[in-house]
Amino acid sequence: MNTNEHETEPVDEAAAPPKTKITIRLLDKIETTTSSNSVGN
Amino acid sequence: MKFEHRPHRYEDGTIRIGGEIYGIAAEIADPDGWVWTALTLMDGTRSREEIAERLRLAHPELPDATSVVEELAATRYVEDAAAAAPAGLSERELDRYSRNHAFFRTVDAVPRAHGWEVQVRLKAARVVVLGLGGTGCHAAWALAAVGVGTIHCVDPDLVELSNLNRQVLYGEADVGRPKAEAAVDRLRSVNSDITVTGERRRIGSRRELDELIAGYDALALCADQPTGHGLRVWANRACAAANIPWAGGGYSGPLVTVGCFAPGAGACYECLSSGEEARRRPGTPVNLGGPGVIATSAGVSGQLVAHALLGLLTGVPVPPVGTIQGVNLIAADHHVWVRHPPRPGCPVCGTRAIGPAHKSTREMTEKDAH
Ligand SMILES: [Zn+2]
Repeated sequence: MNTNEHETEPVDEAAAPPKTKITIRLLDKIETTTSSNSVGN
Repeated sequence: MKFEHRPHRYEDGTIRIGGEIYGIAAEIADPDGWVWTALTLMDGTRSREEIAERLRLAHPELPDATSVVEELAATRYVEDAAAAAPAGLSERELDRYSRNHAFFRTVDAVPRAHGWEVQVRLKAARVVVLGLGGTGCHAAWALAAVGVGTIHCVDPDLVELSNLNRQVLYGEADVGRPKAEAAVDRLRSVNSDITVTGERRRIGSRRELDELIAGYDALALCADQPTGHGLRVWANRACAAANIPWAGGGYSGPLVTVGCFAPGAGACYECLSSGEEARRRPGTPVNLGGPGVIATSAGVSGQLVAHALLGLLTGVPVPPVGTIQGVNLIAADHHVWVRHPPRPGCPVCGTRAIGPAHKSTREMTEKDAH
């Protein structure tokens, strides 16, 4: 699923540093827990 | 890093962040380890500039350490550890609502300055709870406990012994007292940091409802009189005219539902109910009456109303505006989720009627794209 890894955008001007992108992918229902065991009260 | 969202790294370097709950949990691909280094440095002891500088030293090959830090700082998973608590809440309130703070901070999709913004909004909010029966008692209790600053309770009836199986604000000593009076006493004893008022009153017309909600920010509709759609239609139109959101809940035996509505956002109650009517076999009797109610069904109903209102008032969590949701307490696989488009030309929510979304939802949800 994680095909978008760190990407560095090409830039035209040498003066501007390239931007580093982070890909944050929200998990799907099937990847997350169904347990709600109390961790507090 | 917010403590409850602290990251974990898998063997392949992928980072899990935000715990394990659907709607919050996420993964970050991190083949070169930059993100993990940055997250590890975000432990509340350093400024953004210091984090970027250390990240640059640890990963000289990284093209732009500052933008890595800035991107992470713009997510729901981090907060400013140096931010002071807001001036609007007393020491006592910071203690009383400490678990609220942790909850809202966990579910909030928007990074904020100090994490108490939701509580401050709740304190400023003014809500009418119409109907103090099974649904209304639980809803009013929840709104008071969570810290809604002003709550006005309205019901025409007296407490009866048969109410005590589900109406959580009353005790045996209250039998014979006006519900509005007993509820106000009880709610003030639950939370003396808020303002609770009440009146013994029956709402008999749309005009009376208009008057009742004037000056309030939201309506919790928990009454069943007049029966049928009457009261809900009045609420739909009165709240649209007043430009305030509302939530209405109830039960039909084990089926518990809550509708969540805001002017200028999504379908209105009348559009949803007409969409549901169109799905039914013609001639189906919809209200057979008297299916009974117990503490659990009334409790779920009232709590769902209160929860919807919290979202409508603060945007946290983002409320399911223009929908009816619910549960069937005898069928675990039956989750109700009613959605229909606005009817063309609907005078309440149709295109001609759309004004600016009401303030709270608009302000608090526009930035929730991520
Ligand atoms: Zn409509």
